[in-house]
Amino acid sequence: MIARELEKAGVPVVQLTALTPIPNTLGVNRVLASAAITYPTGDPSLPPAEEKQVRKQYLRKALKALQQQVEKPEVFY
Amino acid sequence: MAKALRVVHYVNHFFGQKGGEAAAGLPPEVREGPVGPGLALEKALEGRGRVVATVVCGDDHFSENLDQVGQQIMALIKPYAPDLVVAGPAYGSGRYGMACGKVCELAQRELRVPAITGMNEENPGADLFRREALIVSTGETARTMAQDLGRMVRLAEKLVEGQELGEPAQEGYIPHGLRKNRLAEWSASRRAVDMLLAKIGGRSFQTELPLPKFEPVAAPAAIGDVSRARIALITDGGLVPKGNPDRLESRGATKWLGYSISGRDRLTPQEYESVHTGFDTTLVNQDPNRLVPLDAARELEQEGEIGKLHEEILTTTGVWTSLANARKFGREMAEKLKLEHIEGVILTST
Repeated sequence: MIARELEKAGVPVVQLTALTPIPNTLGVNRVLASAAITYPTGDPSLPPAEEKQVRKQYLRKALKALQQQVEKPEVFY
Repeated sequence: MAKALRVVHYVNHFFGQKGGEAAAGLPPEVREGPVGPGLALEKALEGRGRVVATVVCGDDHFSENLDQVGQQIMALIKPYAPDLVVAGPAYGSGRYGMACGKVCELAQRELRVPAITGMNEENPGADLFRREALIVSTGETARTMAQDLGRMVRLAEKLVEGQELGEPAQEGYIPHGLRKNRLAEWSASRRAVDMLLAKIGGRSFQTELPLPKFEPVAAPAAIGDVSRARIALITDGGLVPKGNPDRLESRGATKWLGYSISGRDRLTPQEYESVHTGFDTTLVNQDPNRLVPLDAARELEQEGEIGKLHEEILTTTGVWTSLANARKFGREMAEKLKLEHIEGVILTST
């Protein structure tokens, strides 16, 4: 609902979540599938330096989604 | 029916023929007999009842003081000893819908008289009074007044006679939002399979639990170039400074908070934690960047892939939070971010 209100106000938002059907059903236009419910941006199985690289990859995908024109709710992976 | 029903009708200033918006501030008054749509109401009653009085009140006057004006209206209705109170229908008008809902609620509770109204499902009055009031579902405009009053009268007569009402969809009223136990012919598993087969086969079927519908929101235009944009990080994962100094609720949030990240290049577990009770926070509390990716975002900022990171993280707890509160948080956050010329948001959800 937060993302919807931001979008209503014209602010582009990408929502990272493991539960993509929820924001997608709510009509959030830019949804990015994240790692897991308990760690949206991370991978605890990796050493910290590598985990940070994974995190940067998520953010790059998020930034890409923000730069992409969408016509209807889309889920990015 | 043995004797003609005594009906009191409630209408607003407009349908009460008092005038347009200029009359919206008028206090309640009572008139003998039907007024405006009351004539159509009487026709719909087909001689089985008559409109003995009409209460007219300005929408602004009523909606600004629902309880007090509601009581005044009850005092006006009571001397007519009605068998039934009919309000509206209010269609898409929000203030009128709230007034009609209130009149029905009070008529039933205080006067012990059956009451019915009609309005569109999107009317805020439907949201507020659907539990207490019997609300016939209508379109958005008064074009269908005669048919709608007919449907209202048919349902109202059942109400007066003490008959049990059928399912909302079949009777045409807005669900009260109550659950009733009843014995189904088949078990849930069989009903689910039947529904699935109907769906696959392209046949019609009816869900037993309709999901709330959300109007589509147009996607804001894409950011031209994020390497020049101001980006904010938001989370609904309950991130707070260690010790939760502002007492963010761990569920059912009533507020959102903003915390400065000025001068920080990561979130340390010594300084931040999550108070969210909707997921296991162990891994996030080991490294809060797994929830709000500040360390990675800072690097991207330094490497020029993000123009500028907003110096504040906005946070709330997205579990057991009412839709109304979540909407409010979103609106308030948007207002603040726009003031600060934020061009894009990365929202991390658990």
